[in-house]
Amino acid sequence: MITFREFSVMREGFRLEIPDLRLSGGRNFVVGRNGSGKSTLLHSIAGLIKGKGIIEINGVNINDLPPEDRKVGLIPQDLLLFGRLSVENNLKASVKYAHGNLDIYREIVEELHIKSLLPRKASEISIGQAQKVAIARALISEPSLLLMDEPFSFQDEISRLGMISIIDEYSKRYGFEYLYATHNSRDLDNGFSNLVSLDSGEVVEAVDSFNGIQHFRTFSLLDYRNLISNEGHYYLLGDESLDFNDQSGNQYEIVGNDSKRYIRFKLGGEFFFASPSKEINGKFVKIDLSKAKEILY
Amino acid sequence: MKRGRSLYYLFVPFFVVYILFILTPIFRTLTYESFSYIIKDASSGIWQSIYYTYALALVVALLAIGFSIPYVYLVSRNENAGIKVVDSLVELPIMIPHTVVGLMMLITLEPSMPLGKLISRVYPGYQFLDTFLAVVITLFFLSSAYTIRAVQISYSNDVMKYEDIGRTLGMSPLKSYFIIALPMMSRAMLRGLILSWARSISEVGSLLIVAYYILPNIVNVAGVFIYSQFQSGNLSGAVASSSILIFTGFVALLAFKLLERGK
Repeated sequence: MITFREFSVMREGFRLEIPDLRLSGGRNFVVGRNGSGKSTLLHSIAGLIKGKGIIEINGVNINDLPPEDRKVGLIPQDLLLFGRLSVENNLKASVKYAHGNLDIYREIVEELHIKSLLPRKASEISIGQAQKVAIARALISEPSLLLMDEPFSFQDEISRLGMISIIDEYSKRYGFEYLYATHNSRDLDNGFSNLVSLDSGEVVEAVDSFNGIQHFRTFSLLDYRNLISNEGHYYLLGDESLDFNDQSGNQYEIVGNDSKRYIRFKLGGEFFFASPSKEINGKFVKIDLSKAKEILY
Repeated sequence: MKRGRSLYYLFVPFFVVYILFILTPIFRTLTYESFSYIIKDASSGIWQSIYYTYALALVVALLAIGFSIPYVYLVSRNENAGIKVVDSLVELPIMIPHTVVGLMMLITLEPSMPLGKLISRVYPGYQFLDTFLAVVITLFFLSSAYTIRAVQISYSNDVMKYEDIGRTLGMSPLKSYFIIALPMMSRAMLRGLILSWARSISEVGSLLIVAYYILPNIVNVAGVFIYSQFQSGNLSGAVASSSILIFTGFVALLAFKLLERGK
């Protein structure tokens, strides 16, 4: 369980504020545009930038502790393996120089099939291998919370979801929680216990299921379809708000391929997309915003 | 294909002119005197000067490395505005005319000056003018900024992140710094060493003032030696000495570069 109370942090003129946030369940994702504060959040939980207020992990305030005493692991986007050291020395860094767990080392090296990499320099292995090594290195240090800052974003879909699944599995086995920053909604396909949406340094909302999302800013990070912003109001489109006919309404185009076909139309000079489940026919689509679900910004 | 290379052809002349501009005076100097004359000039005292110059410059460069490491850590790890202001002063010595630097050293550190007086009270017999100390301190003043910036760029742009990761793995600040960060800076340190060393060798102006002759051995650093040859009307000797200096400098730089590549 991660709790923030009256927490704020400043970095290079950017301010992140979290007055009150409780994340229970252990599988946490944070979404937000570039510059929304995801990295700042992760770095301040890790203790690499100093914030004010309270961050509790399982009831213990860690915000006054130095990074090495927080038991918070971090896998950054560029992984930051120690390139001059061998893979083995990367993995054993926490065992040799801190309180890393040699049993976990043995277990993970075996299970992730990285034994053959051990003598190689960390700068000489492939990106996919480096990602596994970065996961292993963090887990061997026995964190109670593992932070990930889009570390697998340079991967294909199957590899990335595979990596997230590895994290998922180990988090259950070793009993750590994780917080994963992403701007790819696919990363949520394995499920989550909390989804935190960040924008301009503030929490837009934190939900425990997709059904709980109320804000346009969160929806728009996860999908581009069935969303409309019009004259300062924001809507979620359903079948009932779309009326296809030959007489009047907006012109539209069917775009996409095969099963992923949807319509594209212009409203107030901007393009929007809808994927109705009913049959698409007729020259026009009439968009009845009074029948759409108005959502918050 | 042709169109894609038009910028290339446009820029080639600039490149060639620049390279020729750099190489022509060097070539001219190296070939001005016959090889046998240069060999003869080698016994004029230039070898001894070069030896002292390179050794002193190395001492200065090592000192610069020694100071750059704690300096860079403090400045990079500190958000304090005062420290940032102080940091912006590091390049100041580079823009001060070198003769002025010589004067500054003189009026600060001569035993007859207030600070010099204080030093000679602690170290009786303290001398400044025309000593090795004067050379080292003056060259350090002039060249250490290059080392500091070389190390700083490496540390604050790159190495710090890795050191931070070491901390998240549970390593203490000391361990993370010495085990992770410091070895990563070796290439930058070598680069800083070369920059400071090269800068020191090229110095003349300030040393004309603080150490024309270095006592008690009565040697000049190479730049001053060549200047004095020229001043006494011996252009051929000055040029021959210069070609020896340029050639050895080239060999030394080459050796440094090979070492840097090996890192």
